[in-house]
Amino acid sequence: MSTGALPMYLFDRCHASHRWDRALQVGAAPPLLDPQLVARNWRMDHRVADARETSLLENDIFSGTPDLEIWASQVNRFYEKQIQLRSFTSDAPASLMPDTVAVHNRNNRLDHYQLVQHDQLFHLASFNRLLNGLMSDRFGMHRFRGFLLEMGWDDPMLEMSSPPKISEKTKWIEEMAEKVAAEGAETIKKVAGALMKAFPMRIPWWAAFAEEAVPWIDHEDWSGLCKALGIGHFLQGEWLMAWEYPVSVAGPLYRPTVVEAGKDPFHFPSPPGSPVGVVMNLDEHQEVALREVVHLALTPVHAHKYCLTKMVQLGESHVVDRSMLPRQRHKRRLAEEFVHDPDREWLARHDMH
Amino acid sequence: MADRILEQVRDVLLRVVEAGDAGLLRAALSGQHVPTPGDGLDYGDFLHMGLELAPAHLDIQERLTHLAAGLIQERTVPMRACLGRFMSLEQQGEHYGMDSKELFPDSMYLYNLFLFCGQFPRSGEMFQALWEFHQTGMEWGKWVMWRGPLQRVLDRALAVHQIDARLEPYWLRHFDHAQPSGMPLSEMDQDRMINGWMGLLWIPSEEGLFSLERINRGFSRLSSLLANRPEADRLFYRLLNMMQKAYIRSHTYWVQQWSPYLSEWPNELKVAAALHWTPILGLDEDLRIVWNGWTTAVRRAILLEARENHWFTLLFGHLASPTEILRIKKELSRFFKVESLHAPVSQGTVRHQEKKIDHEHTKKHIKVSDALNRVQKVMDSLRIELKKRHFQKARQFVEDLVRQQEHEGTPLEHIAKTYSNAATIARQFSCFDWALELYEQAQGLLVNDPFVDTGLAEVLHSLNRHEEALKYYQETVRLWPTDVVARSGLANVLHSLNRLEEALEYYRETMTLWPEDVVARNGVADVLHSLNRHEEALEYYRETVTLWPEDVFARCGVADVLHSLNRLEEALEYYRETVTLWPENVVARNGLADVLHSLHRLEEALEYYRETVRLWPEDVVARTGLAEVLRDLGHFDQAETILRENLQRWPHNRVIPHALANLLRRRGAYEEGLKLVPEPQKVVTLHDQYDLHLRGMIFLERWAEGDGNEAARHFQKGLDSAPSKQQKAIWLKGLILTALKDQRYQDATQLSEQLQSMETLDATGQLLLLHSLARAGAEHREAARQTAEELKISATTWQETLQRALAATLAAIIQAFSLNQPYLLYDLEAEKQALALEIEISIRFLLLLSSRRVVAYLRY
Repeated sequence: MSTGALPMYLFDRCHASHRWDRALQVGAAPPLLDPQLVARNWRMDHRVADARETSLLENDIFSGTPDLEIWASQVNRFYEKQIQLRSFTSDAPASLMPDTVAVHNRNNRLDHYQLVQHDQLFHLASFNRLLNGLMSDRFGMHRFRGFLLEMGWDDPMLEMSSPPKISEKTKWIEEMAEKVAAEGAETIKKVAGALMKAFPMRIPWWAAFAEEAVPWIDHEDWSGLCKALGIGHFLQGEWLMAWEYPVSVAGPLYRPTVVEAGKDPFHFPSPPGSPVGVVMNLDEHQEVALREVVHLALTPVHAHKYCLTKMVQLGESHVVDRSMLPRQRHKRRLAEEFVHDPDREWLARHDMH
Repeated sequence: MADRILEQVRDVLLRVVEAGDAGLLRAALSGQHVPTPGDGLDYGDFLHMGLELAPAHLDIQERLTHLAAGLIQERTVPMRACLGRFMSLEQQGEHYGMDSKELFPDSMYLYNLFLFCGQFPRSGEMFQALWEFHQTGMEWGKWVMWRGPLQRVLDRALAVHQIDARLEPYWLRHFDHAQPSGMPLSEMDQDRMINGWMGLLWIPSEEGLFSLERINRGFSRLSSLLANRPEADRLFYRLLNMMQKAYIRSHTYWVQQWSPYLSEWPNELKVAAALHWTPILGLDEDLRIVWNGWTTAVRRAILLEARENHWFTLLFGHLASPTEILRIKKELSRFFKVESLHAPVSQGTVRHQEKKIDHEHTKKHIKVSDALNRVQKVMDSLRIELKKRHFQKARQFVEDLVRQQEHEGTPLEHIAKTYSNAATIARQFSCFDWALELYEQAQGLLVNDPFVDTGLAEVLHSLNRHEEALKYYQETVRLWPTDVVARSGLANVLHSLNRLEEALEYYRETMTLWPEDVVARNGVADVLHSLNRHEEALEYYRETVTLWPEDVFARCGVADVLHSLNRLEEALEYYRETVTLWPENVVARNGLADVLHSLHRLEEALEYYRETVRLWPEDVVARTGLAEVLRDLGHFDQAETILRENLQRWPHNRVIPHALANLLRRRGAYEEGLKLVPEPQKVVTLHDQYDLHLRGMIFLERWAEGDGNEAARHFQKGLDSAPSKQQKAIWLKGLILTALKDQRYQDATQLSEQLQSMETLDATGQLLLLHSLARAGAEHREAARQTAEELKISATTWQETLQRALAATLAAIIQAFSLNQPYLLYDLEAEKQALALEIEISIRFLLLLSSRRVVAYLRY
């Protein structure tokens, strides 16, 4: 039986007791640690259907009766194994596709009959993180080395220790980013295609609708763009690249859930009345809450075709507010936009969040 | 659906793409080489589900699009040929009409082909193929009836693949050809409208993703289509919903985009927009918090009313502070471009409007909670001051509050509510004159408000201004036929006016309309009780107690009827049980004390009343009951003091002057007694009856010069106005007594015979008959003796409360006419005593007979 101050919710469903009691019974008093925020999100996220909940609980990764720390590591492991690191080959069975596109997440799939296919999506990624992820997989790196040779660039592995040290990798990634950014449009597009081709996994992409993101995209400094997109984990000095592409090439779109968010503490579940995600804007001066979806990463061809022809490095001014204020502001904004009874009741039910 | 099945579908599609085999795709769309989809899925959708599992790095979609476009082209050619043939035949006069089976022999395949094509990314090649197919059909539109599922999926595919705005006129035509304005749209027309709307939304725009101008043109055409249709709100809501799902954006975005167009929109569309995007109303942050705090249903109701310039929910829903309500009303009026509320203008309204304008510049914004708390505090203070009987201070509180509300520009409707709430409290403390004044103030500001009008009527009723109360209730019921409080109030006034049959009818009608309304049920029982239909009344009350065991009024009703039926022990038991269950219920306690009084257990009754008065010092029934018991215990001074205090405190109560006049009669203060109960102009209510009767008895008892005539006139007046035999009997007894006292013995005998012919005589009637017979002379002496003997025998069944008096009267009559002797020895003093006793028991009997004391008191 739960003994905490708050009723035991999981995915917005109340339980008298649950084996995740210890992990999810997070106190109400701020400031909260990242795992606590993630736990709160898991408590309130109505978007995870019963079937998906059952599947999660039956997964070996989520075994036992974890405390918060262990549960947070389980969440992260599930994200890496079931969302991020999925095999993708032409003959891959459906069971090896990311959990996002599984049948039990069908409730979050957008009705493509209703969505205009020529509407434009926008995805922002960290070049540093993409390359780093690639270097963690020897097959991926092997494929990318082919591209490097094709471009007439040096093979970095020849000059690095085996296995490469972190400092060596970081140095090379930074040099690569500067080189690609300096070479300009065509090279950036080629690299974008090559990265997607070499990547061993199809990470679900988080995307906003480009038309509303335009004011920040056009800006030279993308710090505001990161905040408008609710991206809090990119750091100063990271090089960013972006894609603007029609809905039609993105494949099925999904409303993101906490499962797709993994360990991200900057995520906030969208209310029942929203068919898509609602970005938690991290900029205190911005009032708009952009809409967001997730979908499988673009194909290499499309990744090349629709990549923006510039890369932007996050400057020293990029600082993200990690306090509870963005969450509180976001909640107020949700209460203003989503005023129908189920939304109001949901917000009231999770008032302490 | 199992992934394994979808994998099989994917494999077929991969084979199609790898081999470039359009035939295999055609076969798959016809249901060959693929599993059965089940779940009501069509093959067009099913194939797409399989496609989603396919590896994305193969450009499978583009290749399938190419193949599918070819399949459409291959169907366009034979369709054109077929149509040409039909046209030629018709020109030759050999063929009329079109056989759709001949034109589309494979309509299911075509349906799935278009369905399949409609799910690919936009493609110029696909659009060209679809366009040609569509154009061919349009060219031959004379024969081809584009209706039904095939047209829907073709429209869908056209909408998805359109690469320019060439189809705009076609989509706009979807908004024509509907039933006449005012009629609901048929399902087919609704489908057509939705298809057209989707087509319009999906037109790519040269200047951006979509053209607001174009969509607004659609709104304009839709406004004509939907004007005056009952489902316009709902359909506009749906159309906006489609737009938001087609282009997913934040609410801020939509409000920014559409705000410049708002002035052109019909109000139905504005309602839909406001329900989707609150900020479009232009409320400031504070008002938005208030607005968003209401339920969807409330917001919708307010918007729908505001659109029509009605404000019932907003003004009377007590949803926020008056200031906020006023500001929201102003914003909504602006949003819908409606004039401000056209309420009937009264003098009060004019006065308040003037004050409002004077103070406009000093208006202050006050928070909802502050305003509500302040009103609540004043009302609480009002109760305290009235309890302390500080009337002037209470008045000052209300006046100050209203002055402050006027200063702040509070809407008149809410100032009216302040008056009305204060009036309700004043009424609770029996300050009826002030309550009347307050209700009239409220009515001056708020015309035709059921709450105010009903309150006003209730006060008039309490002030015994029954005819006026009746008019108010009748008007309120006419305006709000479903107002159950007004209906019950109306029946109650009819009851007071002694229009018992009408009251009964009204209560019964109310009970039929609201079977759950316990007040109406009790009203029926109450009137039946008044009609002396005791058994029926008892049955009603008992049934109510069974259905609503918590209803103390019905329980007291049961006991009260038992009291009237002289089943005093049962009544006592019933009251005791009720008091045990609800020790805090003063009505039950008074009922219990009253039964003890009737049982002549005066000390117990006294104790009960004293305790009740101590606990409820403001309870007029307990205080009057206490005085009556003291009187019967012979403590006349104490009784008189209490009654005089009561009279001062409750000057409009008609029970108190009656009780005091009766006491003064006992003390020989006839003049003052007569002054206390002035002669009613007309005998309408029960209280008119009691007062007239008491006056007659005072004249009879005083017996000064002319008093005999006065007594006879009073009783005759009562007789003339009595609606029933039972009530006529009361007045006949008075006339008999007058005749006996006036020594008109022949008249007395005739009146006694008349009385005897009207009803089975009760104890008082039998005594009067005995008295008349004894006075009638020797020839009636034997009959008199016989009657006396019978009375002696039946004396044990007499009502206990009167038993001693009745027995004493019988003894006095026997003594006066020596009926226990063989010969007549007339005893004048004994007859005087008998007459005095007869007057006494007549008064008490009347009160007992019609008393329903507990219930009757409740109405005063």
